[in-house]
Amino acid sequence: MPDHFAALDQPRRPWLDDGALKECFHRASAAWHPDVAGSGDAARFAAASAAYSALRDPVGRLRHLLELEAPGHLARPSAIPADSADLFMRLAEFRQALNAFQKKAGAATNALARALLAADREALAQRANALHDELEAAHDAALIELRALDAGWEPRAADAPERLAALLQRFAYLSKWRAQLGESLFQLQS
Amino acid sequence: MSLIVGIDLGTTNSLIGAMDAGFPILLADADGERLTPSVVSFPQSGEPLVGRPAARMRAVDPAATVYSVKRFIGRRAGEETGDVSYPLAGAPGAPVRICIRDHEYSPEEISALVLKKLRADAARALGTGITRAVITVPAYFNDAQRNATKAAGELAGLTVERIVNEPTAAALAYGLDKLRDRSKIAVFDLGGGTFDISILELNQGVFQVLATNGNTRLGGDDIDAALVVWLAAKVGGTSQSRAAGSVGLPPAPARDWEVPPTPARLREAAIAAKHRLSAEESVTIDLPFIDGARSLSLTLTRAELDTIAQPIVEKTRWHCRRVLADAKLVPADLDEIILVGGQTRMPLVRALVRDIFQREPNTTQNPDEAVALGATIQAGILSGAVQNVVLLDITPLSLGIETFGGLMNVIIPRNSTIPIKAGEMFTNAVAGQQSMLIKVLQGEREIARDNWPLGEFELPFERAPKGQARVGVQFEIDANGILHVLARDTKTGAEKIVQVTSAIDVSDEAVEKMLEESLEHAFEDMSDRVFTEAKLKSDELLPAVRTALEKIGSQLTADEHAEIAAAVGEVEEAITAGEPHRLKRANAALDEATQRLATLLIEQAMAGSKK
Repeated sequence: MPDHFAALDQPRRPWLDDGALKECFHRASAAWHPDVAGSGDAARFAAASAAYSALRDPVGRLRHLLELEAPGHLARPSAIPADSADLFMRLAEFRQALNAFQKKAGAATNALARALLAADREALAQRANALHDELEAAHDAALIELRALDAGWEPRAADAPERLAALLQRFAYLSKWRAQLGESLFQLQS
Repeated sequence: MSLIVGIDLGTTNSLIGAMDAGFPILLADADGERLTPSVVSFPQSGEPLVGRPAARMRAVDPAATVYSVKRFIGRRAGEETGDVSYPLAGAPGAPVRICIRDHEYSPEEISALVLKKLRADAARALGTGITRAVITVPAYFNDAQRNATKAAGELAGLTVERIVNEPTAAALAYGLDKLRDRSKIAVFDLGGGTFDISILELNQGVFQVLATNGNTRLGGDDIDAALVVWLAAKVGGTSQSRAAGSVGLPPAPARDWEVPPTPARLREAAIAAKHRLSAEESVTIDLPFIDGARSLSLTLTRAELDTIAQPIVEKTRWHCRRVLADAKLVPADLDEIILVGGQTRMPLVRALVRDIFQREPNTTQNPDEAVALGATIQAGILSGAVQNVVLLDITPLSLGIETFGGLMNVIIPRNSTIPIKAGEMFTNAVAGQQSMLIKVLQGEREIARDNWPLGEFELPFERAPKGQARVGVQFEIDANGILHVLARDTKTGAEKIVQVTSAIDVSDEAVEKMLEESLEHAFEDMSDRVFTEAKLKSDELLPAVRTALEKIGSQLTADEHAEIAAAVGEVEEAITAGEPHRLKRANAALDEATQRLATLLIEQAMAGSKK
């Protein structure tokens, strides 16, 4: 298995600075991109590019960290974290309502039929915005916890892999929901 | 190392350039012109004309003069409207062919003639043979269109060292003298036939594309076509020109593609007027002896042109919002919006860009030349003439395979940095299964068949119990944005490159079958279909009008009520009479009559939400 941290000269930690990571990737690209006459190295560029796409978001980074340090913790089945169950239900309900709305909207090909749906659309957009704020707050809270875990990273506490696995699970759900909701918001505004 | 040239193979114009003492320069032809119209005309006898002399034949010999061929490259018949003055052929699903006199040409062959001319011009200007080139394509071109462009280059005797995306090339041209900068820019590229919007991050010589979006069937040509419709209506009485057909309609049947000279003349006049209206507020269009006897002179104002072009230009907005969402940025995060492509000279386009991105667009780049300069810079990077610059481009479309349920399983998501490889493991579903058919797709839709089929291949299995035969398949998108597939048997470790049968190179047998089917369709009564489609629209419209009137009818004036009632009556009568074209017109009239009703409804919804 490749070590993405090593490929980009990064410390093996849960938290990485976005800007510094990008700088590293750009420096690696400037040196090894296959187009660069003289020093181009397709294999090294491929490794750097794969590392950058794995490490740039918490989900990929935490998963890779576990793969390297405690692969046993990866295999566990992941249920929705208990404290997110309520949020998940509301997201699911919203998505159902949005689907129903989009079916109606898809059938409306003239301006008048679309106008008749404007009130529904507005109500859905408000619901989506409220959910968006809530998700962002949950994501910020997860980031704070990530920083806390990172602060106590060396020397590693006994429960570090467990906390890492739990945090990975939280980020995995959050990132999926944020992507889904972002897409919903985009569609509602189109 | 021999010289590499950079080529912008445009819908309307093409250019060629080369690095000279560390700077990209564009090369002129024998007449001192850098812009070569992408037009090829075939005279009765003798060699085909290419470029300016061919462009002069557009109005004179429209059926034998090929322009905007880029719209057809890598495309299948039926996908692209046939609203051009030259005849097209090809059964639905088969590659588009262009019929000139007794000969059929592929779009690649026509493009190769343009490339050959550019190549000869460059050889003359530089005093050396040209064998290697970088050629640009719209960022949103798919695999088939990229392959076809590469094939055109090869037909012209060039080794295509790189296919580079047009907006990315334009960003290189913009950023070459700003290599110390760190910034985020958007390139808004509206050309003759295609639209691209890309967002890049510039960081000390690294040009990283963050996201791209676009529409390969949206451009200045569409505005020209709409303007021709308007002109044709003003001319009055003349045949409903097919040259005026709008985007989205099915292509006219092949026997109908012979167009009398008039639409070509209207088009010429329309284009000239459009160009002048970028600087002037009002122009006079003179059409002497337009049908042999009558002459016409009329005025077109910029406001009128804007009204005609608005729905077309407005289509760019969705793509701009999409690219911002994909890059996870808001307009305020961007440092510059660079405009390229000839159509961005239009004040209406600039106003729209200002509105979407909430800032003044950057017009420092020559909209016709920036892409060619960028292609030249990329050629310089590859040859080593340009140092300390590197491009990290992305794939515009997600790549995936069709799963059992007919869904698209994404393997490489859109906006991934290229070159990129991704692996997928396949096993036999039943014991002794000898092979498995894999369909490769490109696109963003969940349902497999809604995406572009790139092709398919047969994956062979060793004889083994269920689930025991395992073959790993590696999908690679190279720096040109072109797909390669490699299969590896995990037991033997044997690797082989899999030939993906392009969806566009269908076998003769398949063509035969499609031809038969299309002939069947040809006998379908066209007016029947028009009526059915129009009736569907009425069925939707009439209840919507009723509901809207119940909700908000009290706010309309008596006149408005009467107008709507009359329009409803006309729709109902047209249905009873079973007259397809009358029904289409009646639907449009009812749409128009209920516009204020729609506005009122939206206003009410907005007001309700603000409480």
